[in-house]
Amino acid sequence: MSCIYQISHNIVSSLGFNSKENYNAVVNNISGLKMYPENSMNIPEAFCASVIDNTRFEDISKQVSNLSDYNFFDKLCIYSAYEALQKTDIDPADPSCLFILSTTKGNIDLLENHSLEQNIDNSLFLWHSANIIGKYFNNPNKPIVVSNACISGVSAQIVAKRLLNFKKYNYVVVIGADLVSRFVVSGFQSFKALSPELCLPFDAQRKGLNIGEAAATIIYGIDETCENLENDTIILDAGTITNDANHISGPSRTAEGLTLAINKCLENSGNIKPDFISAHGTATPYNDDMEALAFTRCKLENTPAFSLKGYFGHTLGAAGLLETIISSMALKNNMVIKSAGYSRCGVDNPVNIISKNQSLKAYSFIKTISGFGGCNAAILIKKLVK
Amino acid sequence: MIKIIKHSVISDFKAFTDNKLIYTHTDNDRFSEFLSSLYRFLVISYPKFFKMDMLSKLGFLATELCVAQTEFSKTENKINTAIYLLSNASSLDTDINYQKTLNPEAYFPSPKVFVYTLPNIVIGEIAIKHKIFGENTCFICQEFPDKTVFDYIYQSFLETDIKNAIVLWADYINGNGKAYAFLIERETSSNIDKDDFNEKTINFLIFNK
Repeated sequence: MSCIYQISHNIVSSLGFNSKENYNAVVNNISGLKMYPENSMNIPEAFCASVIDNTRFEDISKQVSNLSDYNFFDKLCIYSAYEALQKTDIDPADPSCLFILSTTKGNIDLLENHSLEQNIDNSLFLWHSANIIGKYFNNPNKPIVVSNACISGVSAQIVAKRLLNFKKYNYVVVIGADLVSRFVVSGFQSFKALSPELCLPFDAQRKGLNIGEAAATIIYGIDETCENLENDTIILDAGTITNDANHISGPSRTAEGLTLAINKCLENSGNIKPDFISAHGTATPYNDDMEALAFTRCKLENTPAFSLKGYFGHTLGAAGLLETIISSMALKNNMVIKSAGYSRCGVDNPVNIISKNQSLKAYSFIKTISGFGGCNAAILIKKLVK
Repeated sequence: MIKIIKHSVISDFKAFTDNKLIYTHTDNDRFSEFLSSLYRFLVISYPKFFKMDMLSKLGFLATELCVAQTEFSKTENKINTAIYLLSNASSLDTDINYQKTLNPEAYFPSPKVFVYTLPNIVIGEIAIKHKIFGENTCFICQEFPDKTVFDYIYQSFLETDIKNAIVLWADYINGNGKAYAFLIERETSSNIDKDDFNEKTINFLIFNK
């Protein structure tokens, strides 16, 4: 059985411009979430979000050549992939390298100043962004765009894994990104899904989610036997996607879809018992209850679990990648991360949410995620132990 | 390894299944009215249809055409059925409609519109109607068929316990839409006379090339 393994990664968020900066902020319990009072970004209601420091990003992205003319979203994606690639000897212009973009809304911020009656600018098409990114790296392949609501970042990793197993590519660069825009913030507000304060995943006082802005990249490779890989290499072992077939915007009351995704994923990885759960934990009342029920139904109620939303907010198309990266780094360092914003259990099915960083000899974790359209996904990430 | 059980096309105010014209509507040049009249023609009783945006209506109807009178539609809970959606414009038509509700002079963002600003809601609507619990992924590509997405679908059948799938191209923008739906199945001895699911067959079936 061949191994699909992580070669390199990057995170650009309010907490830093590479994975290490982001990870260090998280383990030091620093959150990138900030309060935005009424009328910020021309949005009447107050909200709380994690936004990339534009001035610092412009400054730091200067070290990457010819980036100045790109739209902000495309620039973020290119920078993130560039930084991840820089640490490898992969030639992105080689046909054995494929790019995958995971996003829900791409350059949606451009719609603000766009005529709503005339022809639509190409920049708003998601495939166009992917083409621009691929072209920047002189990649000869047509890139893939996965737009599967909030599970996009995990879906895209599953796509990467299968396409590597298809044996046409040696490397897949998976980039996930979404912006904090007036479009998205107002939309989630209209759903009453946003908390005006810091989000509190799984907590009794939780009121809703916070939106976050980020780009995150994971480069996956394939090794036929795993024997050439170093000890502690991070492996994407299994992945499953399901649908609730129940409601387009509300989580399932029975947690059927997520339960099925987790059970199948664990079964496909040889019934491994994960050492921790990197949960979706959006901090909306319904999502967290549904997730806790799924963990309980999968007999994972005692497995240490955390949500990273208290550090980054919900980063939409980037979330699945960003959270996989931070959790993989924690796995490597044998630790479980404190679930920021958690003090008192507020879900119907008590689960083991971690309220303090802990060291733990860990070999694997499961990343879960759910989204609008009734979709759920789970991936099992493990550490190669020889 | 994968066979096409049935396929449907909605294009230029016409609806086909297996290349047979099922319905055409010439009285009106509005695509939205064409879809509503196609819905009535198919005698589907599903009030949720009227809440959907254009992209969902289009994908929903193409799927209805494609699974009508098949063994597939008689199965209760479809755990090993996948849905793969491909689209060029994604939800951009609804994105623009939603953006219109954000005008500072008449600010009234609607959750009913916002929910459709995700293309995979089409998948959700189909999954609910047909009780499909299996894997589902939405790809945004310039054209159909997309070679890499087809490689992915092939590999998914190879690696997982998927029994059958709906592969749907649905695209709606500037008041016009197109959809192609395919019901595909893992090859069994009983469907040996069916076409293989690959780009070549699809190009022939749909575009006659």
